Amino acid sequence: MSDSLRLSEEEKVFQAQPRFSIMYLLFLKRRVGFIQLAQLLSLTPGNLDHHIRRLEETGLVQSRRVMSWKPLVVVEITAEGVEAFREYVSKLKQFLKDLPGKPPREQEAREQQESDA
Amino acid sequence: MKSKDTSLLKARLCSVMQNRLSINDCLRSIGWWAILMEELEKVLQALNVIERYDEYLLRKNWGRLLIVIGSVLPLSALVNMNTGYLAAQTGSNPRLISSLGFILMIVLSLGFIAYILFDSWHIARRTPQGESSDSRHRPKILIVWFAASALTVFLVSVPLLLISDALLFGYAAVVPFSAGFILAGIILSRMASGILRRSA
Repeated sequence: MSDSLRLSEEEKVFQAQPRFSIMYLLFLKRRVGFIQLAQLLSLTPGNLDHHIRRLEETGLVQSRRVMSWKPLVVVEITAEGVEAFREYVSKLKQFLKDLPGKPPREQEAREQQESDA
Repeated sequence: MKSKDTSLLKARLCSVMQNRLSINDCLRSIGWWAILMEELEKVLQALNVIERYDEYLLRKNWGRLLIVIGSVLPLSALVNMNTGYLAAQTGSNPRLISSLGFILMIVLSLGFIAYILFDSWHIARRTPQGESSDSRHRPKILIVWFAASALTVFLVSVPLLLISDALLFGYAAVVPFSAGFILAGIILSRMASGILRRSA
């Protein structure tokens, strides 16, 4: 599947749905609390930790402790993570451009235009 | 295979049967569309997560705003009510204490309101106009605002009619006002947390 998009090893890491959602959210917000992330994705802290670790190992995100009203763990996207996600979006865009054939409705409209001409 | 993919498959097979598309092109096209569907499904689920997070941030900000209003305004009122006592304790001019209380209220209130407006505008800018994942979002905020205002007015005005002492009158006005707004702020914050837990 990912071969058709020619994804790099980094990009393949966030192809799993939870990791993709984490990356997309962090790409837009830059940083999100660990607890909020777990609630948003309906994951247990242990499960989320596993996904975050996978992303951290690839250098896409980093988590750190901050002091607020109470000690919090926040997950942040790294510069490499931003670049990797941007690269993925451009690949997806290119994939859409190169898509062979058209959806049935468009094809019908095209055929209609041809017959009218 | 999903229904969208099935209709696509039928369309492609029809094209092959009518010799408009080679079998190789047909298979290639179906494979690419399946990939596209999978990618789009992922993006849609991620967008749902982002939308809920934006809603959470908006409600959280409104909750904070109510709590700050419920804290800063009564604090300033309490400082003004006790200027004589505070001036005696600190050895300064009562007018200075009163002015400080007033400045504290203006700076904190306006500063926080500006921050909330900026933050909310920043969040709302990213969401399509006129669209919300939760159609009950606005009515809920209106209900909380109405309940906070009505409770405050009712709790403050009715007992005040019975009070003749000025200082007691002040406390009786300030305490329910503060309690009403802080309670409303906490309710909104709880509602915000509920948004996070709502499944996609």
